[in-house]
Amino acid sequence: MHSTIVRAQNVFGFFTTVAFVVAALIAASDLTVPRAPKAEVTANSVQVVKGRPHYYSTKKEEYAVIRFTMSADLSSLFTWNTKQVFVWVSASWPNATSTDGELSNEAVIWDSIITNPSADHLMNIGPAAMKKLVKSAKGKSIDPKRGILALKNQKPKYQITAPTGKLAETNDVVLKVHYNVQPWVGVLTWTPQIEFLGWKKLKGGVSKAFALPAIKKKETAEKKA
Amino acid sequence: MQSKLVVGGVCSEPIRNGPEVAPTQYGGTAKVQVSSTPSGLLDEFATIDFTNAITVSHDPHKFPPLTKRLNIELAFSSILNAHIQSACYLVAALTATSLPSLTMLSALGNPRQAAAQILNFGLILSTAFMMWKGLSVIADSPSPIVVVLSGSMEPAFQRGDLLFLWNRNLLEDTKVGEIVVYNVKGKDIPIVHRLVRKFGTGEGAKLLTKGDNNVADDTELYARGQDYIERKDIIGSVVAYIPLVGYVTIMLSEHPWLKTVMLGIMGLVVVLQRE
Repeated sequence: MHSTIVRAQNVFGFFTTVAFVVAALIAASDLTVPRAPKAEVTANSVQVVKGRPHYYSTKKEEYAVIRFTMSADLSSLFTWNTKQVFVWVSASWPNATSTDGELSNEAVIWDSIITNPSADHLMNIGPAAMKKLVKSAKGKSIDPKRGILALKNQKPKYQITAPTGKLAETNDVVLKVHYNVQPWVGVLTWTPQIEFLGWKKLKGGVSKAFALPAIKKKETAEKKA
Repeated sequence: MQSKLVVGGVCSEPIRNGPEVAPTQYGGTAKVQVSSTPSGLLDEFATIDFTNAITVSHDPHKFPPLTKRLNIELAFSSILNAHIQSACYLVAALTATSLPSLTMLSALGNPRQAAAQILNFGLILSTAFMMWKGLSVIADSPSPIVVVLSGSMEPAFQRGDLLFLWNRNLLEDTKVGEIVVYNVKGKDIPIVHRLVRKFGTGEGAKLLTKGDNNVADDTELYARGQDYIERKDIIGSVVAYIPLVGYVTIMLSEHPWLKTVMLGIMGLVVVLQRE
């Protein structure tokens, strides 16, 4: 009853209970911080080019290269329990055959990992970039300023295609800004569909609908002409 | 049956610095080093039957990276088995240490007490099993809690982090941006990655995944000739996160001597506790 082992068990049991309660409280504290993110996104130049999925492939597919301008204020997402915010811009478009206008296709064209300074050391970047990143927060463990983004005529990170390989002259394409908040412990949250307590929906964040152009001729061909 | 008690093992995209397999090595077994993290933090060893690996994909001239990759994946599935086994040890160990009466097995002289202890042990095992299966039913996922085994989702998830999965589409389809755990056809390796493309809706939608920390998307990881995964390949979307807790299982699978030490301590406890 009062042996060392029983005591060790009790201490361990108490430790795990306390650890889980503290973790639960930290996770619940997320709800007390209001979130009011907003974003604006517009498509700039849009091109459709032909290409191959990888070097060995003989398949030719159409790729859309969508340059965009985005400004976002996600600063309210950064709290003491925020590990990183994953932001991305996706292009959505309806099926060619659909009549209800449902955007049944979606592909990410650009994304970014924004760490809270407390998680900077976990980033997989080179030493110089790491030094710069750590310096940018100067000893702060929370830096809401990192949530303010301004991208001008940004080149997409991903050139998108469709399983059919056809993408030129697609109508009603829209760009959308999304985010995913990764906590240190607790529930992961995405761009909300509903308002919940102090958490507002993302204000804006959807571009006007635009159409993808016809395939761009190869520049060499243009030069010859 | 026992392996289902396990806190499910998940490796997300094991391959970065795979071994260079020289063609002369084909046809036998070889011990290779598998780097399980992009940074090569923890290297693991596994024996691969190369005859087996080659039947899966022997096309070194056309797809050298792919051949290499498949070999390593075979290696990794054996590591995963070891992992599952060690998690069983862990469940048993935790059960035993959390139950004082069990540590008094020295009271075996009394048959009635011994029977009570055995029943008690069975009760605890079945409770754990029921909780796991209950969670599984609620989340509609064969493995509602998984441990992250690789660093391809860094900095969001590190090795050893615990993820809670949800596999129901109550309000809407699984959509782009969600972090899903999926199985590749014909391979028994669950992978945790983010959905980056979705074409179509419902069950037949074509989905593409990518690890946040990886440069390329997962097309290379899928089965041969498979360009997309489908909803049925997904065993759940990540909804909640606890850091580090699952690291014990990784420790046990990577350092087998720890299992011996653990069992030894348990044995000592049983012997020393004479009350």
